[in-house]
Amino acid sequence: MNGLGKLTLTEAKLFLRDKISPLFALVLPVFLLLAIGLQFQGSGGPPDLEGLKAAYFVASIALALALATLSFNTLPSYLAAYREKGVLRRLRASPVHPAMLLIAQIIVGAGTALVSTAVVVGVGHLVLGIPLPSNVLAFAGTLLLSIAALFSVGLLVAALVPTTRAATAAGMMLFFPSMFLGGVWTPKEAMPSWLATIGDFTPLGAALQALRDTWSGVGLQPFHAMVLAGIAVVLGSVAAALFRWE
Amino acid sequence: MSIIEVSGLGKRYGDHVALRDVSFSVEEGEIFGILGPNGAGKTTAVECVEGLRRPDSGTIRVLGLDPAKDERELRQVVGVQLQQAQLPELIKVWEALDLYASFYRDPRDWRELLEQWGLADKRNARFSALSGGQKQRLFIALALVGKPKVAFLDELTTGLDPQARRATWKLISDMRATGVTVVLVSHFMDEVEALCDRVAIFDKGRVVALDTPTGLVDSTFSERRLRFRPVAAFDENALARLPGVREVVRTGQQVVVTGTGGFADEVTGLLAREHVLVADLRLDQPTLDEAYVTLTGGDK
Repeated sequence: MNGLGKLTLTEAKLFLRDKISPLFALVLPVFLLLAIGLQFQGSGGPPDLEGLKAAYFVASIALALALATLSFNTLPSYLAAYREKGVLRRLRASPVHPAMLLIAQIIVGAGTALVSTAVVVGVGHLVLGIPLPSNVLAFAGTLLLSIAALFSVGLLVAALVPTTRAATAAGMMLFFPSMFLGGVWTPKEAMPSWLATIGDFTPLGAALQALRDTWSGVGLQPFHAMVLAGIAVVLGSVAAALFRWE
Repeated sequence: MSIIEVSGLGKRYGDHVALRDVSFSVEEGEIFGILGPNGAGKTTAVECVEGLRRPDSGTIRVLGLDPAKDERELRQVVGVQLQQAQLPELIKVWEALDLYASFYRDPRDWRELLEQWGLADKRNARFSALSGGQKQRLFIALALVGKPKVAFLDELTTGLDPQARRATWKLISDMRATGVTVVLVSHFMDEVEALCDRVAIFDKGRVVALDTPTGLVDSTFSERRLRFRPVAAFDENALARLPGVREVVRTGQQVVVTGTGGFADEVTGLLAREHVLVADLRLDQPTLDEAYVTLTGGDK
């Protein structure tokens, strides 16, 4: 197996072995979906239009938890720790460029996000009766675009923070406001419109709205696509320019 | 054949001159020591040779390769153990070796390295659970997994207990026996004396001396001291006329004769002819330690 393949496999093993990240990214989202979703369902009967809206809202909470954990917590703290401890430095002295480790991390994170989303969509369909995305390709494409935007935020954090502790703190500071502005604590429909607009410009807010839209069949709104693509390109380039190996 | 050739190396960080006009060469199959106080430029010089830093001036050739231009090729043929580098906490010993082996064109079987470096029973241990000595041995094994022609070992035994240090020395000698040229950065005199064929002493960014460990001592201390305590009355002034003797001093019971060359044989010969019985006869042996302190101005 070549260097990148082996690195990716190793990073995937380390990710699963660390237990905290998989718990937040893979287990808790499904748990949350079922815990809240089954309460909503308790009202009985097939989901009407309002009920479906509520169901998508619940499902988006689950997706938000997975995506925000992977982008704001896991990615920056892994990379900051690798830099702080000299893991990247040691790799520089080998035939493999340390950028390969970054790529391996992104592959593992994106793979986890895809698995987590697939599980949430699947369980949501089987247990809660949420329809599957009518256009799977559009939904998958939106998910990848969302991952690109959210991970570039994580990469920028990793580029800016000096230590692992700072990465963890910065991750937390992004995590909670993002969840709020993304409409996770309060449904966007219940927010003042100016707050909801601000939310649409945040990476997580735009990602969740775009995912809900493609899932429920409304379709990807150009506005959200542009916000996500813009964030991915701008923050991704800044992160690439500022990232230090040691 | 020189495996490493460095000439006129210079490097500055802002106002601080880290290296000035550093030149040395390392021959195939030798253990080459780089010795010097903290901040003398040892690590900077070695990292330039490894291609991890760019020097401001000078030329470097490692196995005929220029580290600045042929970095990819260089990485395949050198093994590096770095100061202050770690592995992910949760990675297992065998995974780290297996991973690094996958980076090289023609890697060694890492299972052999596990045996050789005493890590076989730690095969499934996580990096964070290893002791300092085990971590160092793993890093050496990682440096060797690509079958390097040259291995760079930086502050290898710092933080190890005396037994672990001695065990590591043995393994480095073994490493040379398999044909690997070793560049050893250290600030332990005993280590360099025990292992190195030749030593470059760095001070304030320059190479202040380069020789074999014994050569360094001899060239630094041309004079030696012979001490003894005459048992009976004895006129020490007769000694002052012997060839090679520079000075004779009596302090209390003790006579100290300072001189060069074979003066010690002359002194003991005279004492024998005169039937002078002496006690506590001792020739001071200057050590590499003292030579080092003198060369690096550490006594000031």
